[in-house]
Amino acid sequence: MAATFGSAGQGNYSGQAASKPAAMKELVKLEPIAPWWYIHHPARWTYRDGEWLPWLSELRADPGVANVDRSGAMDMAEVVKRRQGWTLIPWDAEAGGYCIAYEGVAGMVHLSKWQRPKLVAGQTRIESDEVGYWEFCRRLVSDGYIQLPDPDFLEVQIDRQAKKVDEWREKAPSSPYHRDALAVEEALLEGMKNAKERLYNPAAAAAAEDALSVEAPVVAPKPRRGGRA
Amino acid sequence: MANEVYYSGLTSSARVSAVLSQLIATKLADTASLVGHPSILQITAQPGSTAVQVPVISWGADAMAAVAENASVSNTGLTTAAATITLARQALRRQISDLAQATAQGVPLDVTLENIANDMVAAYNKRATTMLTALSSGFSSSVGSTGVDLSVTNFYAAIFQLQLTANSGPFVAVLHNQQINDLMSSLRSESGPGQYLAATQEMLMAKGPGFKGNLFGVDVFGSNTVATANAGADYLGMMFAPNAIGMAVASVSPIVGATTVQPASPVTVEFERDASNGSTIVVGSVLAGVAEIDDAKGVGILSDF
Repeated sequence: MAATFGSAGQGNYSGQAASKPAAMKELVKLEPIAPWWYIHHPARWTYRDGEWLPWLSELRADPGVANVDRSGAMDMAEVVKRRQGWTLIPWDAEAGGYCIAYEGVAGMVHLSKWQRPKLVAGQTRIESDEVGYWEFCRRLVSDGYIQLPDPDFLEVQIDRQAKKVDEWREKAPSSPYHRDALAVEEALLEGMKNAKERLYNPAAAAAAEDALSVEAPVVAPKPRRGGRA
Repeated sequence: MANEVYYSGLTSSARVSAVLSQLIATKLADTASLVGHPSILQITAQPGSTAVQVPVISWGADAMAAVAENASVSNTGLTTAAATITLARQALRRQISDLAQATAQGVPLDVTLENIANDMVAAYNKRATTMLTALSSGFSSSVGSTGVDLSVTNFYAAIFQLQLTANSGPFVAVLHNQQINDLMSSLRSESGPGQYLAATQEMLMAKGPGFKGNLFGVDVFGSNTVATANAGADYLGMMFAPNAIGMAVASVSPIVGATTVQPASPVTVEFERDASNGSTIVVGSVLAGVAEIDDAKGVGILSDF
């Protein structure tokens, strides 16, 4: 079949937006971070703003670290963690994946979906969407990736806080610092206990709160450090 | 009047606009190092595999039991486990041109082939420390809460947690420098027998850069390689008893063709000449791996960013 060529010399050029030369590419000025997965151990729960939430760790595909082999394969690392009771959270637990790769000056930088690098006055800062991250942790429980904790694990932390409150009560009469902060620590202890009740008996806890019309003590949010984005 | 000798008239001929100082300053860098710390199990890997298996045997864990007269005693098995450390190559490559070398001033700390080679040990120390601090996320026990600054109470809680599992010291804490600042702030409000012994020059010499001092009998190291947690909301340091974590290094020297191997270091430094573009390549490498040996011997320390 004969080829058909379009007519030449019509001047119908097409253009595209200019792109910077490779040397001028904006790269994240952070040290490389290997791809990673969130993992969770049944003992690791943390109290935050009136509720108990799973506290996640990261398992990085970093060769030589925690049984990741020379090529970055995670088989052995995953087996070791599973044996110790950890649960590996798949990337697709979050729509679009929770591990995001950025091109860095010395290699790829893998951050969480809720961390965003930005350049401020020549410094690389990482902006954290903590609300979004904790919402994700909450979803991991409701979607069944993470089971509710054994009450003992929460009780250990509540006991620890109770001891702290007892110590601070003793120190308060002679220490202005402990006296001023005691109310916050007491509220934190009460909040931990209430949150535990809500976690295991949400309906009963809600009914009890309605009946009493008493709001759970809320710990005032701590002001962020000035330098942090 | 004319032909006065002004500086402005000489800058393009008899004066240069700038002269590199004879004293070269080093840029601030976090050189904290945990390499070789006695509380970290140090293993020299034997040939055969990239996986180094460490047997963990619980000697002294089983007690005798009372047995009735004439009754037989049944066997009790030994409690054993095995931890594995996987080796991988860690390396850094730099390339310096002949022109860059020829224009070196000969002052200490200048950019020269020798200094680049010597810096490979520091590069290894930093990488190894980063690998070790990454292990904090693997301990199943933890103290502290998200969004709350590290306090003396949490530091004690970590000690108590280790003591609760029958660990014997000396304990070592590895914290981010922000966590150390928070800990020291908390210490200001403490009273009683507890005392923070700041690192002296002699202690730094003995324990290496990054050593911050001793608090309640625990050696405290500070390093900015300590990882963040909870999407950057917190830092996750750790406290551990001896042999909680291990580091394996495979010796590859002597290598045929390698021109230099750093003495008293597992780091192999090799030079490679690229005559076509007039430059020399320096590659430092080491075969190393780190892993948790015994989960009950360590505890994560979580605190606010």
